Amino acid sequence: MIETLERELAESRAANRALASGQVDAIVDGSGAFLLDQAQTALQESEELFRTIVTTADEGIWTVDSRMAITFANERLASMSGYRVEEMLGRGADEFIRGDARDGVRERFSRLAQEGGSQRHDVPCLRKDGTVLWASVATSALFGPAGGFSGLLGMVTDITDRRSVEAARSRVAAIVESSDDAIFSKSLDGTILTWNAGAEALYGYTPAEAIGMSVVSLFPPDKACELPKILESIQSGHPVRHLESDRRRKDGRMITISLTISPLKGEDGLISGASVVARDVTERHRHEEELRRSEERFRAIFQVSPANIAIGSSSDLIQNANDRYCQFFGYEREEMIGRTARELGLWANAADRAPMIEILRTQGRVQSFASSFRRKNGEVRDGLMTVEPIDLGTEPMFLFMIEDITERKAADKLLRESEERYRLLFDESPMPLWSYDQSTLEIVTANQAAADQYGYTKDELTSMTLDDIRPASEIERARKAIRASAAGRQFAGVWKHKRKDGSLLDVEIHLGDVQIAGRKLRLSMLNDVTGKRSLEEQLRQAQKMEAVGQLAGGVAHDFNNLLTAILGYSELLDRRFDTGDPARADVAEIKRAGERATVLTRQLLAFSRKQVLVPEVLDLGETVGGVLRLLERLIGENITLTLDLAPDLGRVEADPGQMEQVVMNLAVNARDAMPMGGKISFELSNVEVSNVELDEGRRRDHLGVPPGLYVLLSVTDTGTGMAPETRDRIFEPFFTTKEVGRGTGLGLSTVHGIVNQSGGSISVTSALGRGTKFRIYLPRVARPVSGSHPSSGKIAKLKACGTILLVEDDEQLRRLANQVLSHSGYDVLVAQHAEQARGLARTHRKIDLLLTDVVMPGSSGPELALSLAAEHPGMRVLYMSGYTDDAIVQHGVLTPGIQFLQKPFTPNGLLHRIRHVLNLVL
Amino acid sequence: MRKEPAAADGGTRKTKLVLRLYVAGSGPNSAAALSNLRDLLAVRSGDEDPVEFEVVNVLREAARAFEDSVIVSPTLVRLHPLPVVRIVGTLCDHEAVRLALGLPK
Repeated sequence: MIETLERELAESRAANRALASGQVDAIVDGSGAFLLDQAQTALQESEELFRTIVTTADEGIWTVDSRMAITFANERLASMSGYRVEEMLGRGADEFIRGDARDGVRERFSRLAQEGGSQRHDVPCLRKDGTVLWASVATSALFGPAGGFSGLLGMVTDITDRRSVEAARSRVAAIVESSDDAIFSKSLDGTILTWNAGAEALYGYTPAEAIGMSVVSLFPPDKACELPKILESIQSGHPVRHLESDRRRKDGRMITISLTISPLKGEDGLISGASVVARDVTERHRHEEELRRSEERFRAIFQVSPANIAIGSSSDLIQNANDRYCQFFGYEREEMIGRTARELGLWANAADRAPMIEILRTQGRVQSFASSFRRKNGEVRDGLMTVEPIDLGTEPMFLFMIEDITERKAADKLLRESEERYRLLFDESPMPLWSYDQSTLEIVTANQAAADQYGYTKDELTSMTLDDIRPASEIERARKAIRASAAGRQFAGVWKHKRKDGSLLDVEIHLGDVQIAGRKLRLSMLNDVTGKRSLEEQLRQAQKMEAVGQLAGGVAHDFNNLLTAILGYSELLDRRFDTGDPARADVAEIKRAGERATVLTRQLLAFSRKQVLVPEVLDLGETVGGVLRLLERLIGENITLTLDLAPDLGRVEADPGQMEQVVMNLAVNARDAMPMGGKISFELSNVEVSNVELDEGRRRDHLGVPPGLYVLLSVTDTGTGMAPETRDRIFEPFFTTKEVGRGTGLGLSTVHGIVNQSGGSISVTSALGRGTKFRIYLPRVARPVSGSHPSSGKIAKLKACGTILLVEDDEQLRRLANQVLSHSGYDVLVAQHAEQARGLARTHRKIDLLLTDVVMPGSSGPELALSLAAEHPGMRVLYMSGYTDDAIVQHGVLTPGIQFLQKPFTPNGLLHRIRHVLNLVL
Repeated sequence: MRKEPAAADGGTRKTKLVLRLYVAGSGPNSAAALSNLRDLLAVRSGDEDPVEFEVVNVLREAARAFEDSVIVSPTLVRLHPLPVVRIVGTLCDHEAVRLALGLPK
C-alpha cells in the first residue's frame, strides 16, 4: 500500500516536474484533453503542414462520410477527374465509378465499414468528359472518437498509362503464346526459361517438359557444335538471324528450321539470356527444291520450244532468248542478250514499235500484233508478235513471242488471188449463175448476170429461195423435180421463172452439184431462152408459111396455066357464036367461073407473098372499095364496114395488088380486135403535111411524116385497143398478140413494108379500150390513072403481023397461045423447050419477038433469050410466068427493063401485051 | 486511426515488454517523447525481449487516457511487466527512462 502511494506520489512529482519544465502538451481530465498553449500552437502548425501536404500531394485524396457522400477532395483528385472540387463534394462516391465496377466497389466499402482496415484496388473511374481513369485506390476506414464508423479516406493514383503498358505487355504475351512460330527464351547457359505453344508444336515438348531443360536436347549430335557459337554470339550482344539448321524433335524426327536468336537484357541492362524464334522450313525446303527442278525443266522447255520466245525488260533489253528466237532473227544468243531490239534493228518498220508499246501500256498485253522483222542478214520476215507480262520477282518483265507467218502470208496471198480469180469467173460470167441449198432451196450465191436477168439485186436474190422465182403453179412440180433429180451434172430442161416485175421467162437450166463448207449446193446455169423460144416458134410458123407459100405458089402456077387455057378457050369459043346465040350465056358462065378462080389464085399468091409488084398510078378509092366489097362477105356479120371518100381524091402510084393486101390486113387486124363485133371505118382524104404545123392534134397525127402532099387512108376500129408497149412493137416482123396459128405476125409488118416501099408513111394511135387508128400516107401524083386492064372484045380489031417464037412447055397453053397468035395474023414458030427453039431460030432468020415461059426443063427462058440475042439483035422478048420468084422476078419485084406477062392471062391480054412490046420504042 | 490493441494481458511471453505512449496529437513535447522512445528502443540488441508498443492520441481518445489514469501528455506507460510504470515528459533523460522501464544498459 505504502509502495503504491509512494509510486503515485513520485509520479505526481514527475508530472509536476514535467509540467514545470514545459514537457507537457496536454492535460486530460474526465471530460477530455486540453491542450496547453504551446501545444496548441504546434498543433496548428502541424495541421497547416498536413493541409499543405494534402493539397499539394501528387495523389488524389478524398474522404466520404458513412453514407458514402464525398466530404473532401483535393486539387489533385479534381485535376485527375476533370471536375472542380466543389462539384465533387456532397456527391456519392460511386457516381465517379464506371458502371460495371460500382457493385464491386460498394461491396468493398461496406466490408471496410464493418471490418475496418484498409485496401488497395485498381478501379475504373469516369472523368467528367466520360473517358476512363484507371485509378489505384488505397482506402481506409475512419472511426469516430466513440469508435463508430465515420467514413472512408482514399488515396488515388492515376495508373491509366501504366495499365495501357501492362495491357500491351499482356497482348505481347498473348501474341507470343498464340504464334505459330516457336518462341522460347533461354539463359546464357542454355537452360530453357519460357516455351510457347508454337514451340511445343514444333519440338514436341510440353512447356512443363521444356522449361528448365537444356537446349542441347534439341540438337542432333552433328549440329551440337553450333551451340557454343550461338551462345558466344549472344553473349557478345550479336543476334543470330535466319540460321537454317536441323533439330531433333522429342519423337526423334528431324526437322529443318530457320532460327533467329536475339540477346535478352535483364533489368540491370546486362545480357541475361536469349529469345529464340524458330520456324519449320522443312516444307519450304522441299518446295524450293521442287521449284528449282521445275525451273530447270521450264528452262529446258523454253530453250527447245518450237515457238520463238524471248524475255525482255520494260526497258526493251533482251534478257533471254530461246534457240528458235535466235534462229528467227539469225543471231547467236550472245549477240542478242543484253541488247535492245532497237539496237539490233529487229523492227523492219520502226514505226510499228510505238503502237505496239501503246497497246502494251493500255491493255497490259499484246496479242498477235502483225509486223515485219529484220533478220541479221537483212531479210525481212512477217510475224505476229504476242507480248505477255511475266512475274520473275524482279522488275516487270515481258515474254515476247513471234509467230513467223511469212510463208503463211504468201500462201494466203496466193489463195486470195486464186479465190478472187474464181470469184470473178463466177461473178463476171455472162451466163446467169446461182447456187442454191439442196435441202432448203435457199439461193446462196448469185452472179450479176443472174441479177440482171431476174431484175433483182444480188443481195435480194441471196435472200430468196427457188420458190420465190417460180410462178405459184410451178412450185410443187419444181420441188418434186429437184427431189427426184439425180446427183451430178445434168440438163434440167426448160422451166418458167418469174422476174421481179412479174414477167415470166423460159429458162434452160443446167445443174452441177457442189459441196461448200459441208453444205450441199447446186450450181445452176440459167439460160434465158424466152426470146429463143419465141424465135423458134416464129421460125416454125414462118417455115410453115413458107411451105404453104411454096405449095400455094406451085399449085397457083399450074392453076395459072389451067386458068389461062380455060379463059383463053372459052373466049375463043365465045367468038364462034353469033350474038344472040343462047350458047354464049353458057360460055360466059365458064368465063366467069374462070375469072373467079383467077381471083382466088391471086389471093392465094397474095397470102403467100408470091405476087409480082407492079406499081401503077391508081385511084385508091377504087382499090379500097373493091377490097371492101370482097371483105363484107368474109369478115363477119357483126362487124360494120364504112368507107368515106373525099370528093376530089388525089391519085397515088402503087401496086394495086399490094394496096389490096394492105387494106385486107388492116381489116383483118381490126376484126380480130373486136371479138364482140364493132365498126371499122375506112376514110380517104387529101392531106398536106407541112413543116410548120400549128394544130397540135394534127401535128401529133402526122408525127414522123415528111412534108408533102398525100392521100391519107385512115382505118379506125372500135376494138380493144393496145397498150403502149404493144403499140410500139406491132410493126416488128413476127410480133403478134394472137394465138399461135391464128396469125403470121407478118400482117402489119407487111403493111409497113409495102407502105414504105411505095414511098409512104404509116402511123398508129391507140389506147386500151378505146380502139385503134392506123394512118397511111401515100404521096399524091399528078399523072392520070394508068389505062385499065385489057378487056375482052377488042382483040378482033387488033390485026397484027410479024414472026413470034413461042416457047412453052405446057402443051395446052402452047396450043392456046399458038391459036390466038396465029389467028391474029402473026407467024408463029412453036417450040416445046429451049433446044427446040434454038433449032427453029437457026432456020428462021427473021424473028420479031420471043414469047417464052421462064421456068422450063433444060434452059430457062432468060438463058434462051440470051443465046438467041446475038443472031437476032432486033428480037424483042416477052416472058410469061406464074411464079414470082424466078430468074426475072426476085422476091416479088420485077427486074426493070424486062417485059413480063403474068399467068393466067386472057387471049386479049396476050395480044395487047405483044402489040405493046412490039411497038415499044427501044 | 486505431491500431489493434496490444496484448495487455502479456499472455505470449513472460519477459515481453508492453508500452503505451499517450501523446497530444503532434504537439512538440509529444513528438519529442515519441522520437526519444524510438531511439531508446532502437538501440536495443536483437536478443532482448520483444516489445509491444502503442501510441494513443489523447486528443482523440481522451477516455482511454482517463481510464489509464493518465493526466498529462505525453506520458509513457509500462503496462507489462507489472507494476505499471508511468513516465511523464519528453523522455529526454534516456538513462532515467531506461532505469524506470527496467531496460538493461
